[in-house]
Amino acid sequence: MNSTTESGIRPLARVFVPRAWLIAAGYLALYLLLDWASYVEPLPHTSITPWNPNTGVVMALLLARGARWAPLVAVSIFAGEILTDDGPPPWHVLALTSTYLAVVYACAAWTLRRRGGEQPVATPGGAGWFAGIIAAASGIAAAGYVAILVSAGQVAAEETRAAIAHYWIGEFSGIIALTPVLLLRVNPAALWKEMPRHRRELFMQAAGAVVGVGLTFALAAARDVRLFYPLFAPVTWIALRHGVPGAMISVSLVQAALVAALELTPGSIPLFDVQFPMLALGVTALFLGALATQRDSALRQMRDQDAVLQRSLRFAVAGQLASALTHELNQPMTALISYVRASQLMSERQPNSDERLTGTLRKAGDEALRAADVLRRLREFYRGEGTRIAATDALAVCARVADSLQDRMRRSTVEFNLQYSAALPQVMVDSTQLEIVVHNLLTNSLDAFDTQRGPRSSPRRIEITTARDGVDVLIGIDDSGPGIAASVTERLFEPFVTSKNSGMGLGLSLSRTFLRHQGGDLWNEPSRLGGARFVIRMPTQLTTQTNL
Amino acid sequence: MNDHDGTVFLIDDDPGVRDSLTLLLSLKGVSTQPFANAESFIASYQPERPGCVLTDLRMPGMTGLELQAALHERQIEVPVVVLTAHGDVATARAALKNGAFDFLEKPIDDAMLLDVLRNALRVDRERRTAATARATTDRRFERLTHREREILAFIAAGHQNRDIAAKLGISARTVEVHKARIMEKLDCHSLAELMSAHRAAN
Repeated sequence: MNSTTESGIRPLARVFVPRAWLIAAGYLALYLLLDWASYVEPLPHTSITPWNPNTGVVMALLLARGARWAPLVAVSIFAGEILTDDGPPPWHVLALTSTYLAVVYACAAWTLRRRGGEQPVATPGGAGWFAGIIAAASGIAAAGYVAILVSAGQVAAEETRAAIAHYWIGEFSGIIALTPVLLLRVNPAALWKEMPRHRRELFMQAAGAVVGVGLTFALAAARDVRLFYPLFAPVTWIALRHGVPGAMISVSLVQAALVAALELTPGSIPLFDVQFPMLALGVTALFLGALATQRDSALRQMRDQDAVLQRSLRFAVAGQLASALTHELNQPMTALISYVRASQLMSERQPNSDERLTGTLRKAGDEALRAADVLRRLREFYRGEGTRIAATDALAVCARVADSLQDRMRRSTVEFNLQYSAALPQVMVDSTQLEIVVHNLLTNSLDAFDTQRGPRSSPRRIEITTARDGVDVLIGIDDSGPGIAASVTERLFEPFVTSKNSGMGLGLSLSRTFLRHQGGDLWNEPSRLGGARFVIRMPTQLTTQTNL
Repeated sequence: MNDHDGTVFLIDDDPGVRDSLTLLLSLKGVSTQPFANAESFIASYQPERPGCVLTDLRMPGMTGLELQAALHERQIEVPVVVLTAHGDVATARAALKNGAFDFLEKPIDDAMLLDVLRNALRVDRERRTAATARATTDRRFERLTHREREILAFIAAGHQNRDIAAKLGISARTVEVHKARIMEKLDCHSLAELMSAHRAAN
């Protein structure tokens, strides 16, 4: 989903043209190769074959790149029929069927893309839609295709029903098995690294698949026994273990192997007899794979969130402990330093003061101060991870953060406005922490826009304004988004309170903690733009002890 | 430094801190009076004793911030130096906003502490000197009669003796006598001194 919107933003002239040619060439090569390879056992006098993986390539292209690639699809279908058929129909009939098929599949792709982008099978719901729309589309394609051939006298009228059924199942099964595989986004390096851990299992799964194909083949060789079940076991196992990618890769390979085995063995059952079981296998694997993928990603997300939570909790506990410890130790340390310094003074004032005693007491005092310094640093670490307060141009920080979010703002069509004010004094804050705060607030606004549904009533705007409040500087971040839900308003700044689906609810609470430790503050108000408004208050002067 | 320079009123609930700081400060020549809590300090406070307050922020009972408020309410203008074991900038800022003289984090560096306390005592002394001078002038002005005050107002406004005489319906000579009286009562030796005394009093 993302890459399509991104490609709309990229400068088209520079990046898109050469890549488009590359995609077109790769598509044509793969299409023709598969068309040629799968041209086996056609119905007499037609190009209707029991298995059409080439249509899987068509669907993958249209789903990934959009319906505007339909002309190339028509050209490829036309070329495929000319090149692979023995005695193809006349060219005007071919032109008609090619165009018809391209239009039908482009419509299917357009419908699927509107629903869920180019990764249609990541969830069981998505897989359901995918299977349903593909079933309908390939049915319509088959009916029209056969009708054209019949009216052109290429197919006998009494064969119409059988031709439609065979063509339909062949197309359906080809798309179901191959399209998800081609749309996979795999990171080969990560996959290679994962390999050794699963080597034994992968080996056994592959062996299972081979045994399955062999058994089916052996049973098929007995001609009367049309059993297909041995293949379900390994494919189910693979689908449950490896999700959609494993399921669909194994289904494609099993189908290819089966077709090859049956084709190469004279006297085995006709391929049309295994057409339906092959489709059933593909659909089963697709749904099982989608279920497994969904389960895995949910598990992973839970684990990741849990890890983040655990880390921050540990940090919070350590912080509490450090705070309690330093507090308890501070009092005796203060007393200790004073006592040692006093002893040093008294020793120095003795008429015949012992040099060694005075020196030792001085050293003892210095060591006590050093210990005190360690305590202070420990506390600073847990207070703000080493806050470095310095004179900072707050507007420059805001501009820098906004720059880094430029792409996102453009993608969400947000109009961003930063009101400069030359007279604004520098503020005394830690610029890194201020950056984190501003980044938090801006991404909150952007996230809020992204969750908005339905037609947009008003333009999306984010505005940063400044004001003075006595010796403090105020920075307001306004947006025209949906505002803050009443259910979270009161507890907005408490940790783990969030309105986002994937939020930890720590951003605002952390931001406020940062600012308060630096003598500033953070709060929210209703915005005059209609959405949320957050105000950051920052001091322009330091408290007298600058090492805080 | 000696007792006339003022006393550090040390308020801390921790006996170790109280004892050690009292010892150290008195060795450094700063007279110190310890209190275990803010309430006992307020109860025994005598406004005429010069000094400054050195107080912990977090204490059972009245906290450092509450002590500040209480002093403010009683219009006691003693400088307050705040100590905290927490180093919470927000609290420190609040203390400074409420008019704290300075703010130190525990454990304290003894040199820094002494510096801050000497500054605070100096500020208190200066404030007292200024207050005494003002009190003296006020007392002197109180000794002027109604007519003398009238004439002083005219003089301050820049009128000549003759104008004043005409306005008040008295002789220039009488004005002259009044003026000499005023100079004497206010302990002024020139017209310039008289003018500045008048300005100070108003």
